Amino acid sequence: MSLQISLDEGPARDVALTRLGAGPARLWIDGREYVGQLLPVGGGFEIQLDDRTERIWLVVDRDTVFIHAFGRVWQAQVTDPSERSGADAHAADVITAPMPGMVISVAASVGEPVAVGQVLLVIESMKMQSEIVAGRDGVIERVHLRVGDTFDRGAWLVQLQSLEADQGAQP
Amino acid sequence: MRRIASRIDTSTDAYRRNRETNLALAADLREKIHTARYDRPARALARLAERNKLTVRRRLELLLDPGSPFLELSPLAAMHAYGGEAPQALIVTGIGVVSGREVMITAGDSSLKGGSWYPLSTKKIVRAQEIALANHLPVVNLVDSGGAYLPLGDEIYALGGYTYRAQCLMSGAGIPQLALVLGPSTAGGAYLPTLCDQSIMVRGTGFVFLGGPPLVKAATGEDVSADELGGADMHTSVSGTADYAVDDEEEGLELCREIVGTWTRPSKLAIDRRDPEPPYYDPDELYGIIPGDIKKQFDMREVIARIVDGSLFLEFKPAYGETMVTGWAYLQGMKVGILGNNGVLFSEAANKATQFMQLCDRDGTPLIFLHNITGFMVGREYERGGITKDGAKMLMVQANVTVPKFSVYVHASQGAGNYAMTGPAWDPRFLFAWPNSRSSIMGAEQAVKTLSEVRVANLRREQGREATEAELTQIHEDVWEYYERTSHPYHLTSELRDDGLIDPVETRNTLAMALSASLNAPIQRTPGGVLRI
Amino acid sequence: MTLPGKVLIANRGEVTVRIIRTLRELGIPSVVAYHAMERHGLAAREADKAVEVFGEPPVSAYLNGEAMIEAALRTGADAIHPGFGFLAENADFARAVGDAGITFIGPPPSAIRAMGDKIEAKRLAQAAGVPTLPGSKHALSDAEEAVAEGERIGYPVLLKASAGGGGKGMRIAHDSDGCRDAFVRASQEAKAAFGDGRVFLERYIEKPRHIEVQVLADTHGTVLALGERECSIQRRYQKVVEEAPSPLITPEVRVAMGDRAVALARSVGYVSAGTVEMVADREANFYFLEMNTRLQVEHPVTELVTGIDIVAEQLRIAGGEPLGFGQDDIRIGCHAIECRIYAEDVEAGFIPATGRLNLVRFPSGAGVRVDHGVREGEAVTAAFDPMVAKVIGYGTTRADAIESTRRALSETVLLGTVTNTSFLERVLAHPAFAAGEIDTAFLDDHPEVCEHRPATEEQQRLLIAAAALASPRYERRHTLAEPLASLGEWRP
Repeated sequence: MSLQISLDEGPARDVALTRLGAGPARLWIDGREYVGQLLPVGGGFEIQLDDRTERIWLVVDRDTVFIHAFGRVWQAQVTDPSERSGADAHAADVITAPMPGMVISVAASVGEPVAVGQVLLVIESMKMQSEIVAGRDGVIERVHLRVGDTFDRGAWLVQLQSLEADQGAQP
Repeated sequence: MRRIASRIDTSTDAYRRNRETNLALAADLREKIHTARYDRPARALARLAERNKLTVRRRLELLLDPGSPFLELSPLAAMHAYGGEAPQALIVTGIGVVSGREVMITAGDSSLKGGSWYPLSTKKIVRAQEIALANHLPVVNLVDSGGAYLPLGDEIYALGGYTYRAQCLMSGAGIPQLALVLGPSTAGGAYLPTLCDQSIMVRGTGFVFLGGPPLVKAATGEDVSADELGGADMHTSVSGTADYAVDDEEEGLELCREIVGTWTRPSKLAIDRRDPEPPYYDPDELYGIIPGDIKKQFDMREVIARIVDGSLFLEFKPAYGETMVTGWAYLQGMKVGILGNNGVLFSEAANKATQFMQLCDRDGTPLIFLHNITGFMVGREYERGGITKDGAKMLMVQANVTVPKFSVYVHASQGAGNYAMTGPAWDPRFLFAWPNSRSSIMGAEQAVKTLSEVRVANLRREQGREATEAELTQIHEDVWEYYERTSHPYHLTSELRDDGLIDPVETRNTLAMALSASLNAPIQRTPGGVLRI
Repeated sequence: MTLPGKVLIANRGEVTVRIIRTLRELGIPSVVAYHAMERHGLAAREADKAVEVFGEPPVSAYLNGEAMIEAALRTGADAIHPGFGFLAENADFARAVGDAGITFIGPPPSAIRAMGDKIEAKRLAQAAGVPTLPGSKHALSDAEEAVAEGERIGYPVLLKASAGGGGKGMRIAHDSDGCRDAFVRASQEAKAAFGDGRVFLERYIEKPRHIEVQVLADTHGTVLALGERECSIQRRYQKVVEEAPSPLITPEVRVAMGDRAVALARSVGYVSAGTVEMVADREANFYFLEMNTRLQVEHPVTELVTGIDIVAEQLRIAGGEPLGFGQDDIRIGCHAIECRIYAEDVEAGFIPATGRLNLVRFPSGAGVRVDHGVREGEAVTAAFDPMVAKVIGYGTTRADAIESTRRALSETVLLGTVTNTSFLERVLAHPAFAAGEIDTAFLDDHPEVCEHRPATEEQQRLLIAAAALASPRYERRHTLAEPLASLGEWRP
């Protein structure tokens, strides 16, 4: 497993870890290999890394590891670089209707910059209202429907400017 | 178990000569493997880079757990075929660790010939699939092949179909399969990712379609881009043919790791284990032990002492049928039964082997066969003693044991002896060969003698004359050349008659990986007592 | 005359737990009034009885005097201890408690009221012979009067809200223009914070020391001074490190300060525990600042050096008992230092922090006292004051006390939020602190104590390795089993 860890909001460092049975683990910090082990000792822990050993206290809260060591508290933030911010840069330019229905409200206008997750339309279908949100950041190219319009599944609802247009043509 | 007492004298000339010879062979093997893996024209590598494609080696690095072992299979496949234009048969197969799970990996190498499948590529994939099936290894396919190499289509077609059937069979057997599509998967190739449980496609380079845009244009006149026809987004959002679309290879490989990490771990076969321990004797001494001459004998116990944990071995029936060494040892902590040749097979030796295999089978102990066999003993006395009958018993029991079998060609492996010792046709889970070894239906010398005698007898019978010296020399040369060439380990491994050539000092780790992999498959033992035969 | 039969503590957190401890020692049942957020808190758990009080935002529950009195009546408590903060210096509350037939453990409402008005308090202090800083005699009517007074007294001057506290409505002016500006801002701030825009000014001492005298007064006319506390290490006008005795104060000055403080307390008919706060210059000239009519956060240092349980004395006094000792019995027997542990981000400018205290370990052993009100797993929220605990170290000499306190701080483990623990350790480790060279500008003069010492590369590696090995993101099931583990990166 290769993730990134930053200490007290410092620079992120690449850290890979392979556990070996019940014994120590191999760790790679910025590509350099170490052998390490975290052993529970009297309610706290002992961290061993190569030939260094240190008694520490440690607690994990979601992606943050709080460590009391060297007389103070440190916060290590574990992040997975493969996790995107939620935006999918390749989300289609055209947002289509997931089901047939009617437009209840329009919250986007042509030329408006929108952020991923931003509500563009509210539609009603089968007595259920649902929000149509932007699949990526972008600029509204066209809104194909008006309030009260009905549409079929797959109908084009909103179109974003293509990324090539946003960023200049790519080879 | 007691430590084997080595009798090797490392100060003798013979030892030094052997060592030189075998070190040279090992160095040549390493160089050949390195060339097969990495020697690519700069323009081929540049072309990959242009398309944001990684080399197959880099892909493997990113896929495998850091710090974990990888056992590559048949790295020299096709080395003597196709004028050398398809090194490794353009596909890498091997057993590695992904997210803590042992998996079979097949990875297409499109740096040459677009990663086309040659006949030996197909054979290599089929062998990888066989191993996956037999050992219940999940499969990760890194798909990057232009499809069958059409000029040799006939040699590919029938066996090629088996690769897809094998996928269906694996699925039926509960073996998970994953594909990462890194190139075009056209026609039959489209089924490879599609028959997997899950598949990932890389945007822009990964395509899946039965017919590519040119074929569609020719067939129906339809103008369609590759992306529309079978791109990552189309297949993951419209057709559902694939499951995940990723932006680049790195992301795809990371996702592979993530998906493999969700697979249920198999419960491994419970065999007897203890803490691993290196051999007491230095495996490096193997180089000096193995004679440079294929006809020369050596004590197989010296090899065993340099492979097993602590060089500890409990020899079974040590005083009976002495040309066969049998006994128990631990290899990287796993208990194994070892059968090694110490000469020609006599009835007693064959019977001892048969009894030992039954013991191990009942006990659930995997079997390792260390080959140095020229065959069963021939002659009137031995035929009268039922040597054929005893050989048949050995074959019968060997073929039907349910424990995993592993073969290593340590030296010679010829004739029916190869069959008895679990040759390629006898379903070894894995078969590896040393670079000094030779394997053929009989030894070159015997073949020359036998064929010369046949020729002389024919001339006498049909033309009533003796063979001339020139004729005899010609026969001698032809037969000698043929046998020398086809019994050579490079030829055999090129033709995929084994799962790879290994440096003798790597035997221990290679077998450990193979053993570990084999424990993923359950075994169903048939009840029955052990016969003292 | 008897001790109260049952005491309701109208407070929360650390001080509530502290009061419960003494109540338990004296065999008095305790009642805690808690807000729902603290239902599972240490205070509610330690109390003999806990009753819920309501309010939104949650602090308002603890500021609701009526509810507290009602809770006391309902639970049969015959006395209320207000702790500090919240209702502790609310004269109306003290009066209402008495009107309800309940004993208020603290001074009479009149004394609270007299000292609550800064201008009035200063006048009373002058009358009692406590030195005061030259300043305006009454609230300033406008900016021009402020400028005139400033010129009369001489700059720099400090403008203060009459109803103020905690640094709000305080401004320093170095000249007339600054004074005009400071008046406007101070009165606006005071109006916003206290609903009372009255502002006065007095001479400002550059880099003053903050020294206060603890007094105890019973209902029989005995008023004693329990020595001083040095509280000069402050951040954002709030004390973070307090000690007793002050390294500045000689026995003679101690007697003089004590005498003046006792005289002031006596002049307002003071009863119970109270604190006369002073500022001192480098020559130990001291001037009246204000009187706090309640138990003080930093009271433990006085308890440790005098051996007197101030809360127990408050309870006895409330029960009408006379103090069982005289001024001559009070000896300063050792040195004690208190560090306030706050959930706050020191580097970001002492910004309050929140988080769940997933792991809590307090120090123990010789020379250490910890007063705290938290339980492991409890959240520190923005709803209340971010003080988590007080770690107090003591010893025969000041150096011993510093050593004990530093050890105690290094053994204080609070994981799950940011705390100021290492900052406190750096303060105590500073040579200027060791030399007793402390004043309220300590942090301005030694800004390095506010900065983390960065970890060495080797320490960073250990920490990162520990984080990786502990984080569930590195899936624990991804373990390389034997024989693969022994093989390592074997890739022939």
